[in-house]
Amino acid sequence: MPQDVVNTPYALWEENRNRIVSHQGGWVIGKGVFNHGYSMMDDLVGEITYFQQIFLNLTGKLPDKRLGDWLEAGYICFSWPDARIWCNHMAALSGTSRGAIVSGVSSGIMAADSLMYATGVMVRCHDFIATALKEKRAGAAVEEIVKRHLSAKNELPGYARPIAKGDERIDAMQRVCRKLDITMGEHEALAYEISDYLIEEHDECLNYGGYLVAFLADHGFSGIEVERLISTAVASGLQACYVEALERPEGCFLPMRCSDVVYTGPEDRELP
Amino acid sequence: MAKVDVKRRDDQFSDKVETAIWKEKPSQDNPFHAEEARCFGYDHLALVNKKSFAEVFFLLFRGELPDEAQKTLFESLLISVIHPGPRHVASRAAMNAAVSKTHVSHILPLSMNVMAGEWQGSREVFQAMKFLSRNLQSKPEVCAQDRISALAGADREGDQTVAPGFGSSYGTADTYAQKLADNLFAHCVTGESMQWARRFVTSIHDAGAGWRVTGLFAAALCDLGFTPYQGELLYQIATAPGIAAQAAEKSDQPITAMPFVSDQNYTIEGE
Repeated sequence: MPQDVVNTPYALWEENRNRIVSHQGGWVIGKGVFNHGYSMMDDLVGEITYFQQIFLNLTGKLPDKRLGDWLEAGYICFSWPDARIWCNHMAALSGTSRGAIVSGVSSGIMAADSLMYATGVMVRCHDFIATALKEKRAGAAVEEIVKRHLSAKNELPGYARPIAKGDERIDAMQRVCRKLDITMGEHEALAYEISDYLIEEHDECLNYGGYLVAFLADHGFSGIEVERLISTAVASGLQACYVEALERPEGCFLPMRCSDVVYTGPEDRELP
Repeated sequence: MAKVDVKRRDDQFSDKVETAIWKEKPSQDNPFHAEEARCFGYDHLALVNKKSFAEVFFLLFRGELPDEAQKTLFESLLISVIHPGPRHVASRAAMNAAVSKTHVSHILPLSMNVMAGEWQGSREVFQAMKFLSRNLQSKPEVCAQDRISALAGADREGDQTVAPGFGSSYGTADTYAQKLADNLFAHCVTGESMQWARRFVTSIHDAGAGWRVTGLFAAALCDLGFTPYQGELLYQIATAPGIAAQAAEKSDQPITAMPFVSDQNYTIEGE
């Protein structure tokens, strides 16, 4: 960096002009592609799964293959070919209007970053189960934990879901864990305890997001890491919905007549 | 965990979409065609012929046409941010995508994604509008002092954000944002949010902080009656023309028209 800018308020930005310092890795042309110290073509391609690489790229740590397989199963649970699901709706609308597949899929990925479901709720779910476990370790009963959180915030992130009660994905993922010989940790066990209490008292139960964060918290991941790990998990369902809408004539995904929209605004008026 | 059967809830979803913004009278020949369209009661074609883009833009979000003072401020504001400049991260995203021959229909969506950040992006407009509305009843000088004091112990690299929309930009107060602010104050009728923000900016000056363009945009939109949600959307729309133009300019240029960091300036830590 030139000496005359060393002590300026903008020295930090000057230092980074036209320069990249990466701890992730990069392409050394003629030598190889490096990723956290691994040579990608020699050490990773054909040796690890894509889902192990997701962990590596986001956290810098290469996990056991079983964790990668678990995440892969978890991605399947996020990707349903049902165009009524809000994020999938974006992909179908893109398909019916003959948008490019990347437009449809990226629109759906963004839509799933929601405060109601999928990517956008993971940090809140993690905060809840992590706090609840601390409270349990300090001696609080499940009933007390639930009541305290409901009275403070009027919500229990990770419990209940839109449209339906119950979540078929948790059974499926428990089966995956048995197959992979992954044992249950403290967060997950508490998540189930809370669920059982809620079923009895409120007719609500653990949802898939609550399961995911509890499982990953047991493996040492934070809420923001969970959010990052599943940030593209809906992609395959989006692809399915896009393709189906594309295969039908233009505009045939839920076409609307003028009368399908109810106008509630001001009466007809003249410009001033 | 106890086994739970999955059951549908009894949610009552709407059969039809409701809107107060736009009314379409169906054509007699085809119910999917509109015979007439109205925006908050005004005939669309009359708006086309008699009103400016900015006036109809205002109408869409606020439900009424702006008066003369609002029109002048809104139009001046939109032109103030019409181009965040070729160095802005969103412009660079657009230009890099253009030279690397990304499908043209992706250019604006991808650059708006980049525009959506909390640092000099549309998210900052949302947060700045929230900040202003929450603090408008306080004395700006006191609020500024409190926030500067709260920052004092923080050992943090990078820009100092005194409040969303207000702080340093590359280490010092943003020179051009100040000029844009001065220009709006000189030529437009400003309201209490802009007046409050101007006093706030004066109070943070000695800390090396000032207006960010996002804070200026936010303050003006508060005075014009927009919500933070609307403000974030409006910032993306308002900055899009400059960003799109940058991409269009690069569209027929080779990939070498944009910098590509040389190997010697690309360092892999630990190598």
